[in-house]
Amino acid sequence: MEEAGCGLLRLKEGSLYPALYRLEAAGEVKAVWESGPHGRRGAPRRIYCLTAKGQGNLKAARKEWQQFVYVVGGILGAPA
Amino acid sequence: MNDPSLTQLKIIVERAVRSVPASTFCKRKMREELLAHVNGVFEEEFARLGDESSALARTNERFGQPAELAAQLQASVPRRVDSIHRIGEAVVGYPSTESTLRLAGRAATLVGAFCTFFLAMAIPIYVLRGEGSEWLTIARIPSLLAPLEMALLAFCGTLLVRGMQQALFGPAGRSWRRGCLIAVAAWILIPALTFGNCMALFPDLQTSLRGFLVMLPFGAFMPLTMFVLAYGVHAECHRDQEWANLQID
Repeated sequence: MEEAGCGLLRLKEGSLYPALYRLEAAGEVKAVWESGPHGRRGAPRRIYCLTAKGQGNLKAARKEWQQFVYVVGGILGAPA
Repeated sequence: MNDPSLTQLKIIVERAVRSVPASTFCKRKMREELLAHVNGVFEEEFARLGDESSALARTNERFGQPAELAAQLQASVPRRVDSIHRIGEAVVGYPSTESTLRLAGRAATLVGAFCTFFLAMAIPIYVLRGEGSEWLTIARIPSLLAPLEMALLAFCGTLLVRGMQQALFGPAGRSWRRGCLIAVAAWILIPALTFGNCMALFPDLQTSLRGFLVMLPFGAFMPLTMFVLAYGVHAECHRDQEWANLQID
C-alpha cells in the first residue's frame, strides 16, 4: 500500500488487521489459514480474499470515490 | 529463529492484544493471526538485515504503537458475536480460576438445568399428544430423575477430567498409575450410576447388579473421553497461560 501510495501513505502493519476483522464481520472478505508451511519457520499465513458482497461494495465505493474526486476537483479547479 | 526471538515476537503481539476487552476465543484468534504476521515481517527483515535484534526492532516499528493498535482491535471486535462467546466462557468458567469442586458444581448445575428445561418442554408435548398419563406410571420415574443423574454425571465427569489432567500434566510430573486409576473410575462411573438408580427405584440387589453389568461395556468409552478431554483442556489452557505469563512491560 505504501508503494501504491508513492510512499506518502504510511500505515503501520498492525492496523491492517482491525480493518480486516471489520470487513470479515461484515461478510466482505473471507479468510482461510494456508494449509502448507510458509517461510523459514513454516508459520502458516491467513489468506484473505474478497467475497461477492465485498467485490460489489468495492465497485460501488470506487464509483463513489471517482464521483467525489470529480466534484471536489471541479470546485477546486483541478479536475481529476 | 531462536526461541528468545519468538518470545519477543509474542511480546510485540501481546502488548497490543492483552488490554482488548474481548472473549478468550476472540483474543486467541487475534494472537494467532498477528503472530503469523510478525513472524513473516521478522523473516523478511532478518533476510534483509542479517541480524536478529535489528530485525526485531524493525518488526516492532513496522507493527505499530501497542496502545493505538489495542484501540483499533477493540473497535474491530464484533460486539454481538463476542458477547455470545463471553457468556459461553462465563457459563463454563473459562479461563478457569476457581477450584475443581466449584467447577464441577458449575458443570452439574448447567447440565441439570439444561436437562430440566428439556424435560419441561417434552412433558407438555406428550400431554398434548394424549400420552400424559404415561408420565404418572412408575416406568417413567427414571426419565424424571434424568436431570439429577445427568448433573451427577457432569459433576463426577468434571472431577475425573481434572484428576486425569493432574495425573498426566500436573506439576508433580506424569503419573501413569494415577491416570490408570482415574480411567478405571471413569469406566465404572456410568454403570455405578445405573446401579444406584436401580437400587433407588427397585431396591433389589440382583436387578441392580444386572443393570450394572449391562452398562459395563458402554462405560468403556469413558476413559478415552476423559483422556481426550484432559489433553484438549490442557493444550488450550497451556497455550493461554503461555501468553498470560509473557512480561510485556
